[in-house]
Amino acid sequence: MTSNQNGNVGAPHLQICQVLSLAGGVVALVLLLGYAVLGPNPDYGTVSERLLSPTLHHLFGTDQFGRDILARVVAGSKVTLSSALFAVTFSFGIGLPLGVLAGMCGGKIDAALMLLADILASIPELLLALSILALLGSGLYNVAIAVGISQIALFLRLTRNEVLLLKNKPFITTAYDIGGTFWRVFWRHYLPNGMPPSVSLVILKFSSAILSISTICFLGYGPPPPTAEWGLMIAEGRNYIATAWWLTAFPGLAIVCTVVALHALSTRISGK
Amino acid sequence: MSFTPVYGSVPVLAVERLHVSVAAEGLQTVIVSDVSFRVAKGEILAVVGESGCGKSTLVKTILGLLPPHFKWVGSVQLCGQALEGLTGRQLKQLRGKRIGFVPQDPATSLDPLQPVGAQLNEILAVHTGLSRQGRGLKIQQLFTQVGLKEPQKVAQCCPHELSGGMQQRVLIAMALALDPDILIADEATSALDASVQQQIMTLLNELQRLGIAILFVTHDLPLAARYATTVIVLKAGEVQESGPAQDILQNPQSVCGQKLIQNMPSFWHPVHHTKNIIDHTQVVVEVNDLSFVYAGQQEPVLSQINFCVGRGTTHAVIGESGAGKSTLLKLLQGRLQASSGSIVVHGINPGKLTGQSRQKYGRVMQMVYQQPSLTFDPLLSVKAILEEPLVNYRKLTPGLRSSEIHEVLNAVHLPLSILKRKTTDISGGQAQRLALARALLCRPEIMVMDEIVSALDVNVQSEILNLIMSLQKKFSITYIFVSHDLAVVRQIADTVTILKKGCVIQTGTLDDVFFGNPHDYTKQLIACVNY
Repeated sequence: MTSNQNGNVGAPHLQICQVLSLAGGVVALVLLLGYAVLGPNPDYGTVSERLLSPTLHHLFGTDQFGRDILARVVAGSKVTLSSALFAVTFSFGIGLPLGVLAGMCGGKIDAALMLLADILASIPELLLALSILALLGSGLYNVAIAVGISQIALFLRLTRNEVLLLKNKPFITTAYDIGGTFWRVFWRHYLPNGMPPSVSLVILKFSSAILSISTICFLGYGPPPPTAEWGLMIAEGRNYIATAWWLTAFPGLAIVCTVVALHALSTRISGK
Repeated sequence: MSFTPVYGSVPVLAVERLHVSVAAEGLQTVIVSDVSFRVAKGEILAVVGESGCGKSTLVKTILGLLPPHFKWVGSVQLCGQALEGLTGRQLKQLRGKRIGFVPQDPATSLDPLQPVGAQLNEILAVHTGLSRQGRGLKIQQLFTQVGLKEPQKVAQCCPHELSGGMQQRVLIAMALALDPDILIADEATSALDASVQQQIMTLLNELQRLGIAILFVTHDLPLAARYATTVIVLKAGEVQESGPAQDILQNPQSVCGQKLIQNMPSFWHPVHHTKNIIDHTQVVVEVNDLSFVYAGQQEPVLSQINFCVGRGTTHAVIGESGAGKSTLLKLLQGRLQASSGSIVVHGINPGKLTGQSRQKYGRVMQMVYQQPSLTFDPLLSVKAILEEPLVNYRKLTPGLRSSEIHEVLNAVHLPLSILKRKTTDISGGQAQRLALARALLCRPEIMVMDEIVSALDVNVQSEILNLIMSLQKKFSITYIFVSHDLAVVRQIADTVTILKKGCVIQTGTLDDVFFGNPHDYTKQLIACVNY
């Protein structure tokens, strides 16, 4: 029996709508990449082309300096996505090992780490990120670090709970019995087995990091203009909202689409 | 057993030419083929076979619990009424009223949060028109019938407040609640201690005398032969032989039946006689006046335990559940500290271990458990699991490491191809060999084996027992063997300690304890041995 006769056996069977949406996604990605390479410079505009509404020549229109909005949205994806990735990696990379440590050690170390997590969790994420920024100073990577720190508590707690469940499993006690030292059991057994719940959370927190970073940049604590960043673009376009809606609408749409897509991805992954 | 079943004109259950198969990935696999039998009123029919022989599928077919992708053909008649052609609803009613089912593991079959009386009450409320008072009386009557003393008190208890034997009695009471014609028991005693097993079997015999037909599924041929009227031996879904129980036990005709008898560890006819020499000057483990009380509790779990184990010998610790075996093991491992008395293992007090010395203790003592698969990290391959002790204890080059691993795999009779597998897809017997191999790689002085063959079926059990005896000779290791099975202990032990409720009843050489001057409790244990 071959896989094309029976959809349940062999390779995953793609349905027509899935194939179409996959093809559409790939085409859009190639076009956007092409636009990023070959399209107009996102940072320089032509003064004569100020505030043009969307046309075939400028698909998303132009802003008050005559810069192409589509080019700026595409360039902004690089800034926003990379800083969000940095933020999540930061919180995952610190929260996970700390969570494993808290669960493994128990006692005073656990109490101290959980106190830290409680403090971090008791302040709203955005407020916490802003207060950290006040210490670090503005700038894109400081924003990413601030957002990262505000998310540590979640990974820490989740991993600690997972580790507490592992703690009484026979394979963990056996790992010590056959001569495993603390750090060896940490690396070899606790870390890999305690990771899965946090990994499925990463994508979800990635989308919330995008929202936080855009919000902070919107408030003006992020990188200074003329950096193309979605939140900053919305902030700059606010003054023209009555006359030139495209200045705020398209960067906003970019944020919404990315967050929705990431949520769908995370639902799909955790469902499997 | 002297009781003769009533062969009326209509058997309670008649299975004719039953075939069950399952279709998976385009392949048709036959699980049960051409099985026919009849169970008469007042008869106990035992279906015996090793794991994977199709016993459970047979039971599920009769109960109508087969998953939808299983197909069966043939005829199943319950009290003369054919089951095929009935609608789902009719089937459900017929089976619910006529068949009582007793599952294998009582602990997982009862609702942990409800008193057992309420659980029984629910069955009666749904299926009978009895009034509240009538139900209360019926519950008391049923509990008395299955031999539960103080039925009113038991009815108020949640499952965790009852012992395993009592839980199984409650389940039998539930199975009897609707006055079924036939009781189906699927390995109903496998999870129980020998003496509790005997009590439950005696209860089934009493029910048989009342005229209930019983279909009893087990892997234990001697047990079946002792209590059943008729036995069917099943292998790979086919009937190997059938006939009166005693005939089959004494003179099995089929190869499968002979193998089951041969591999069954026998208390009265032990196969292995080559015992180790007990040298009283070389004591490896010495336990003196050991007592243990959990913090905040009055009753000691262990009190005044004394025994010693000689180098290179096998010491068996025997006890029913609740005797304090697990606590004793934890004390030996140093996971708990003795309340009073002393333990000396190879000159070390395990209660005083810290950091480095605890890590080194693995080279003195290794544990092997009843369920070895739980002791393997699910993410690691077999190779990674075996490498672990070598990395921890000996700084070897990768080449030396793999030659050492190959040597140990040879010793435990595992193929080298297993190294690439995941531990989740190896069989129970292989998992136990793997656990032994890992323990051996630590090069321990002492190996503690906690019920390591209890979960395995007879043929695999005998292989593992032979294996550990050959390993003992090869590596001259001292064994502490914890078990509730006297027949297994008789095969391999040199010295024995019998525990009951945290006290040592008897300790000494095997012959002294069992045959020299047995204590009353020891005599009781021996009386429960089937074979």
